[in-house]
Amino acid sequence: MKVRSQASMVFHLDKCIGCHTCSIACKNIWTDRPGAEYMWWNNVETKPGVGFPTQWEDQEKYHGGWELEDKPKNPELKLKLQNRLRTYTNLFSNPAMPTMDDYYEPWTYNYNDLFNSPLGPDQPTARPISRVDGQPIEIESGPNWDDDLGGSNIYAANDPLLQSMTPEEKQRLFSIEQLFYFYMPRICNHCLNAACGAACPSGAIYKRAEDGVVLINQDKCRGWRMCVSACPYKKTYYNWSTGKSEKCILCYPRLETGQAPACFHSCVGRIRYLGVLLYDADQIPDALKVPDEQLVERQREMILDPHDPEVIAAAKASGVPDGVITAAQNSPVYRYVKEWKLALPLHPEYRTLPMLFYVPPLLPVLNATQPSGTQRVETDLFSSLENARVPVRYMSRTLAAGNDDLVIKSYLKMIAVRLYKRHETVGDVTAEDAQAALAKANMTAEEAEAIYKLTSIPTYQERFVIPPYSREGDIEEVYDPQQRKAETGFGKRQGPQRGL
Amino acid sequence: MKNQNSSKHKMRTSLLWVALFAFFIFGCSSAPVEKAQLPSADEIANGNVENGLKLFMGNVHLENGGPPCMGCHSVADNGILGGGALGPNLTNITAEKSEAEILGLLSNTGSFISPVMLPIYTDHPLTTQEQSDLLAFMKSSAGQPETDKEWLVIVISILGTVGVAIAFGIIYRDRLRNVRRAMVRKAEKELL
Repeated sequence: MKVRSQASMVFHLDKCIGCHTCSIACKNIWTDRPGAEYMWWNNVETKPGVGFPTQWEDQEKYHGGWELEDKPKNPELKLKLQNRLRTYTNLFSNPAMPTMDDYYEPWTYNYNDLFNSPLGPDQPTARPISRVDGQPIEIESGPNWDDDLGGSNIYAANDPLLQSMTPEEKQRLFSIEQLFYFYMPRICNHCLNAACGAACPSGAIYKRAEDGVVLINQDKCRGWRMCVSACPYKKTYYNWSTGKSEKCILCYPRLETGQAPACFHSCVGRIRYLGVLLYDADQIPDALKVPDEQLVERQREMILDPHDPEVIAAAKASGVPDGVITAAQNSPVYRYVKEWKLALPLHPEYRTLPMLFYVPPLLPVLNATQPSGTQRVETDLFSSLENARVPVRYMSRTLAAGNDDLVIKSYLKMIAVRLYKRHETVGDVTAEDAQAALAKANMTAEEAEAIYKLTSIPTYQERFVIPPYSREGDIEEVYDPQQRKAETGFGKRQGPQRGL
Repeated sequence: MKNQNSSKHKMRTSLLWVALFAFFIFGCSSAPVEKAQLPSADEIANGNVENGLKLFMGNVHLENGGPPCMGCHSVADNGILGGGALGPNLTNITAEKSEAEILGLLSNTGSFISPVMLPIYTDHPLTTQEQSDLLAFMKSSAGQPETDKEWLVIVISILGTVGVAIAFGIIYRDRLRNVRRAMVRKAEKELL
């Protein structure tokens, strides 16, 4: 057993209000630079929708992620993008590259037009100008162009995940008063089997040993952009100004000083949880060579119980510091993912082992079979999953590689928690109904209470359990920690530069 | 054990460098130069037209390693694409220049010397036999039409460029282009 720790995340989609505060917090800190204007290390998508960049989930187009070889015996995992030979033949002409139009052309407005316009009968207007070449542009798309189902019969209708749904289900998604949509905030998944790192010809992408954050070394990056194609989540971006690729760094400078990443910290709905997961790195190859439906369960098996004395001993033997083990024991992510099995990884079928998990959204709570008009709380709200408006098939295609069972189990628990608390606080749900819902979800009242507490009234310290980073201890032997502390932030800064 | 291996390896590498260096110093040096001589009247009379053609076209190598005439010249109907166009067309050269002048040019000894051929053939002079064969070949071409194949070269170049472009288009036909714009256009067409 080779125990590693991974900074992991849970996003509770039921709580996301789609306000984009996370995106703005990230943009203001990290990507407000020339060449990075179009990057959204954190973005929020409306689902169903095409996302950012357009139709990123369609791997027949973008060739991201991994696939199993088409062999009956011992199939090996290979990059969907290309093998090593093709990497070199395509080095100067990568065929699976999203164009600027598939992201969007970043723009600003020529505000001087407002100040310099001569006196006249009309209000002056500020023309939109491109932030790439400074020329006036026609704005055709943006990073959240289809927000709240805007232009849904062009954008949402072309969601790659809708292709497998029946015409009735599709119909229901878009009919007035029956429609269903939710928000999907996305950052880098900091995968255990990152396709971006595997595809990089320069070996510039690595996973930090201490917390598994995936980073691009700006000195080693040569801008081949294979990571842009290989990442199935399209979460590495090419900076045309520095000639290097960039991605979410999980705000590691903040983590190292005990703060939650900016997008987590600023989240209005408090949907984000951060914690450490201990996992068995030896199991990675086998966990990826199973059929799609088993991927999530195998990933859960890899995640180890930090309370188990055997795991603790193995973690210590593998060099995991005590503070990290304690953090893993208090991790909210562990509870959501492994203990309660509520949270599921985004598109596990890409086989990158993403370590960002989503609690599927139950919203809207209204009944699907009920015609519009008055609805009664005790009978029509959260009554049963069969009547819910949530298309389970759509959620399972998003979060469980098509395994409906896992999504249903997660939903049953969430419905049971709601009914149980409704019975407790409002009282219009009978005790029998609440007990029946708990029994159906195969859970106890204590578990329902714990889920309620961590979901609805968690404190800052409960949401973000950041492990201590013992950097001083690690450098002690070669450098005086006091001196390093005093010197941090001083000295020459060398920005990323094009070329070798 | 490890040390032995590495020292052996080092020695082998240094030997390789010495061999490579020696090749650059000695391997590329020119053959000893002999001075070009003019052929005797007998040899001129015995010039072989067919052999002259082969020498001209480069089918048979010139003895001292000079480049074949066809690189720059054309004579009558030589080859599908004709000869080079850098030097003059030599189809009716015997009508314009005397034998002595031609031989003077070939051997770089005459009163009129080509400034282009001088440096090329000084180190790689033609033998007397070669000169007489080539002279015979040029004589035999007298009266034949001068063919101009330059248009063919241009046509082949254009077709080749188009062909390579098509080949690359086929190789990269699956590349990603314009996901969003294509999607929007298609959807708008269907909605109207």
